[in-house]
Amino acid sequence: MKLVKAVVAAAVLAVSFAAAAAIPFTPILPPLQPSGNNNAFPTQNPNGPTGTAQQVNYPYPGQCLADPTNAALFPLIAAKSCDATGSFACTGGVAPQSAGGWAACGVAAPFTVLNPIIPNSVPPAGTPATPKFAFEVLNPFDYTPDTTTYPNADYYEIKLHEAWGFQVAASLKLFPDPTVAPYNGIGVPNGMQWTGLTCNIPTGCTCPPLANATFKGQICTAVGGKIPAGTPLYTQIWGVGSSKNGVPLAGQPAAPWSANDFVATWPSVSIRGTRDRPVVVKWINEFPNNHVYCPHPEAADWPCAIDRTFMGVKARIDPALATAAVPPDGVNLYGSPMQPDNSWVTHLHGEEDPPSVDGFAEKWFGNPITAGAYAGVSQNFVNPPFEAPEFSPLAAKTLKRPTGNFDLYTYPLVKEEALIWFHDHTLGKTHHNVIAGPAGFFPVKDPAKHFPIVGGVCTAPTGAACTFKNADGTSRCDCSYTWLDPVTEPRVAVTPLAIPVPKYDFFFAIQDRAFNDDGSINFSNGLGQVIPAGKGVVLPVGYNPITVGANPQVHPTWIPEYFGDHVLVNGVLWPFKGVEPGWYRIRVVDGSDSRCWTIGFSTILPAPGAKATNNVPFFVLASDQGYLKSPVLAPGNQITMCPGERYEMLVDFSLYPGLSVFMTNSAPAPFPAGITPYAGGSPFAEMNTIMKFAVGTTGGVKSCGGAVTTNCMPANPALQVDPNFKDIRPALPFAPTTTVRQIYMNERIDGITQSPMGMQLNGVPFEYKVTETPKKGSREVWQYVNLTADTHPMHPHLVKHQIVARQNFNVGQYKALLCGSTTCQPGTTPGGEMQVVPDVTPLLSGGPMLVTAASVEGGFKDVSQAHPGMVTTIVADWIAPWNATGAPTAPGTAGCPAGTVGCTAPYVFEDVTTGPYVWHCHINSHEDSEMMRTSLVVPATVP
Amino acid sequence: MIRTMALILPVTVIVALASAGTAAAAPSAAAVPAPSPARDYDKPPPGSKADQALWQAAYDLDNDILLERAAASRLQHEAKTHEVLERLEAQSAKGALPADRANELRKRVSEEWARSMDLLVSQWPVDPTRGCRYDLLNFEGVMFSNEGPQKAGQLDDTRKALSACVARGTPAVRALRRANEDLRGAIAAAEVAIAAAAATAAPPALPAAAPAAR
Repeated sequence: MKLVKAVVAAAVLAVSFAAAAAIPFTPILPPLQPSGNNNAFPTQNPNGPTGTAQQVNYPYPGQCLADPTNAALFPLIAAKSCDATGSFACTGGVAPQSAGGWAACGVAAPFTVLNPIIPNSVPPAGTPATPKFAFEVLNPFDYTPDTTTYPNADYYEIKLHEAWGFQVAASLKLFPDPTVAPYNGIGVPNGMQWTGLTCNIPTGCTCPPLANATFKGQICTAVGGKIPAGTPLYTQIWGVGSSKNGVPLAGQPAAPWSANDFVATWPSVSIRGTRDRPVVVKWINEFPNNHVYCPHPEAADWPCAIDRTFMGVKARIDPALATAAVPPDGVNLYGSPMQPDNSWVTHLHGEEDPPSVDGFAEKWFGNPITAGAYAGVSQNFVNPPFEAPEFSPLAAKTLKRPTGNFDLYTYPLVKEEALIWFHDHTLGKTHHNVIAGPAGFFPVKDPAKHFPIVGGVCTAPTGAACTFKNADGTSRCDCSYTWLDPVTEPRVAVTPLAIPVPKYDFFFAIQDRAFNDDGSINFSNGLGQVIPAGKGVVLPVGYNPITVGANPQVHPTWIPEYFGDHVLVNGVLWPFKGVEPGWYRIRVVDGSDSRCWTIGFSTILPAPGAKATNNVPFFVLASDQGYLKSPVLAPGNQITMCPGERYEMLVDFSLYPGLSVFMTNSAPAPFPAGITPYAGGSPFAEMNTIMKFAVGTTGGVKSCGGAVTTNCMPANPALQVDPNFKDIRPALPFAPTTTVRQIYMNERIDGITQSPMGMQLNGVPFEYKVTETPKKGSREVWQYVNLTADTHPMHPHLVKHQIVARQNFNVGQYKALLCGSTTCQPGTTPGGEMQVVPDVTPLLSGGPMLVTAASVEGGFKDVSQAHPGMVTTIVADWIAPWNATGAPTAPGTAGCPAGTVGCTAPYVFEDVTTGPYVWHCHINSHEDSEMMRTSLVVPATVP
Repeated sequence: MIRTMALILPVTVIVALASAGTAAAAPSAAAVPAPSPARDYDKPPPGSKADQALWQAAYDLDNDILLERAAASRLQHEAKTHEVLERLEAQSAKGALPADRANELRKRVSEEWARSMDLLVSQWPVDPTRGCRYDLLNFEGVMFSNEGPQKAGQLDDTRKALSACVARGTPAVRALRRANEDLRGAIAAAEVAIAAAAATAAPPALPAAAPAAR
């Protein structure tokens, strides 16, 4: 055997050396080929989308130049330069990019090329660097509901808004404060937050190109108009705030799109829900006119991360849909003719809700200004019609976009106790809006499961005395989760606001970002990355946080996945949290675009680039849709969480009084076969540590053995069993009557550049006709057949599901069945027909790797990891647990918000069959590149 | 009915039939069955040592492509953001660094930077983001597959494809690694010269360089 190995190795080496003399590299990008009509950008690749999805070549019709010296790069638009009538104008006296008073307006300003911030580069001695574990992260507090406007419901008015009032919050010690020693910086202006990022480039950092002279004068004080090393770098982000019960900020400047009277942060303050009590939210779009990642859409020489070759944001629409404000071809001062760049639609991720309030991707709405500009587009029916032809006309439904800048959603909240969360879901640019910041937690509690235990006896009422009923009318009062109350219920006041937040129950959004040296988030060809040469720098194509699109000849700016090299927890870089030596409930959400995290805990701080030693055991208590059957001791002291997933952990810090415990990460990016933080030379060397817990020496919730009491925790949580846990996993092999739906995942590869062109499900784009049409009330098994190189965190909306098993399969032979050879890459361009999906069953190999109720992944999920080269099997009941039997009144009118048909308590909600949902990969960059499809629940009576 | 529809319509609803590959014991109603261990993606599938070696070579190549391309990007940015060329010129202008030496170092950094850039922005002989990952998926899919009359032939086919991909990619990543080493060396030489020049001149015109970013 050794001989065989040596022969193979020698053969590889021989070929390698022979080829080394003339490696077939082919120049494909400017400035190596600056020719033709478009010197700055190459001609679109002939493999690019065609037909109805044809691309408009860059620069787009209607575009101008902000810098006349770029004329040679754009001969087609050399004669037209940007002026102060578009996104460079002052709207209502403020810049359309921010009302925070720091952004310039009134003149077309050229873009300044930025540099990346490398996390482990250090500034000169004596100046501060981006610190680790220096700032304590805030455990988000809750909005206070209005309980009177809608009887028997909690009402909120939530505004999607640029960051606002951050310095006020920072001065109250809620966030890092850059105005105190050793930074002594200027206060953070509205529109921005401070993550702790600090200029670490010895020669200084770049002045923000968007900033006005005043802001530049305050921070750009080094030689050459740079930001001195050691200076705090502020980041323009969008956030979420509540105008109805937030913290008022009197005297703030007003903008034409906003009242500007509250605090908006990244992440948001939380909304806390109670099972069976509906929550009504008026989601209000008060974002600035232009997006953080495309501040001047009509300027061809300003970077724009919104790739107008993707669905929803393309540069061309049907002329019949055009309006005076929105020409059909090209881009305008608000973005694409399809959709303004500042649009938003809320998805309450994990909620089981009616179609009209699920945040369907095409049901977006703009701010007051873009809602008006796109009125003609907005008022059209959502396109396409969500009609499954084979079930027509029973399922023929449409949704309409709001005509204003808000939508009023009513959530039934009939779900199990779980941590759900809200984020954007707009078509084609969810990844931009998620990375820009706005999102928040939404924990749901079921009071029926927490009755007191007195003297070892559960005091829950029984029979008719129990007023908490299941959908079938049975009582559900018990004490099954009272044992968790000692870590869940205690509150502590956040000084000096005296706002109570959970004391032993943490909510952490874990995210990755890359940054530019002006403080902006480094997004693919967003701020900081500009393709054209001639500005002194050419940025390379590649696969790391500091490069542009992987296939710019097809998609000018899109990258298949976004991986940052900085860790943020609740918007703070590498923070710490003080804890008492006792039990804590730690709830985490992966709010990243693409990054999975393999999370562990360690008493040893891993050096940058080192592999963490996870020596702290912990229990996994719950995942996306609630509690496991029993808490599970994390195998190997670690769990892996991918975008969209949530995990809840129980950690006992009582073993580490006075010590530091680090939350660590060892996941490769991309997952599962990419670069780990500990690979030699890894650009993610600093990603091996997420945050620090500084353990005190006193206090804490202690273990108290088996008895459940109000002030201590069971020593072994794994002994706590939920008697009501419902395991819906079918036995293997499946019964012949089981409905099994197989779906393959494919990546379209460019035959010329060999780079990714996009992701798909079953080889078809999002707007292909609906094929996933489960019957209402049915149980379906779905099998994800992953032909791609990545793990995809798959998220079907509406339903919770359980993972049944994973199993290897013969990928090549499956492709041969699908597209004719083992090496073909399946997939269609828009307009193409879906092929018959082959049955993968004969190609499965080995045995199934079972996921059971005893697994970390064994609970109900709403996001499941579908690994490459494997078939991942899930099962879900397509039921709508809310009451949908009332008489329709007038949904959408005052007092009767969307989602409801009966508008006085008890509320009656629209039926699950009244509109579409989506299911998709929760890698946002994938979902926006067509790895998303519509699902439509059809009546059970459909043949 | 559903099965028929699956054939005539693009609906992937099928009735699953039991197969040997999916057979497994039904979970016991009395006890929660233990979950199966997860697949280790860092280890080759079962197979011959030669096939496992090829698998490992492809796995390493995929990682090396990502690492070397990332390193190239960072080195290029380091040269730029730390203003290596500008600081050489500044020291030369002050007379702290001989002009010939400064020009030599500037030329070396510029040329290595350009070579690195050329390698990065040119079309690669393999997918610059996925490397040989798709050929690897095909190969390991066969390695994992159940024994059967087709397996030997499929292994041979996928082995050839993966070997060819590795053969194309290995020299490419090796060339970039060399370029990275050369650019890293050029930057380091320049920094040494700048530091030495700065030590002889007072006060320095610009801050001392930071340690090289990795």
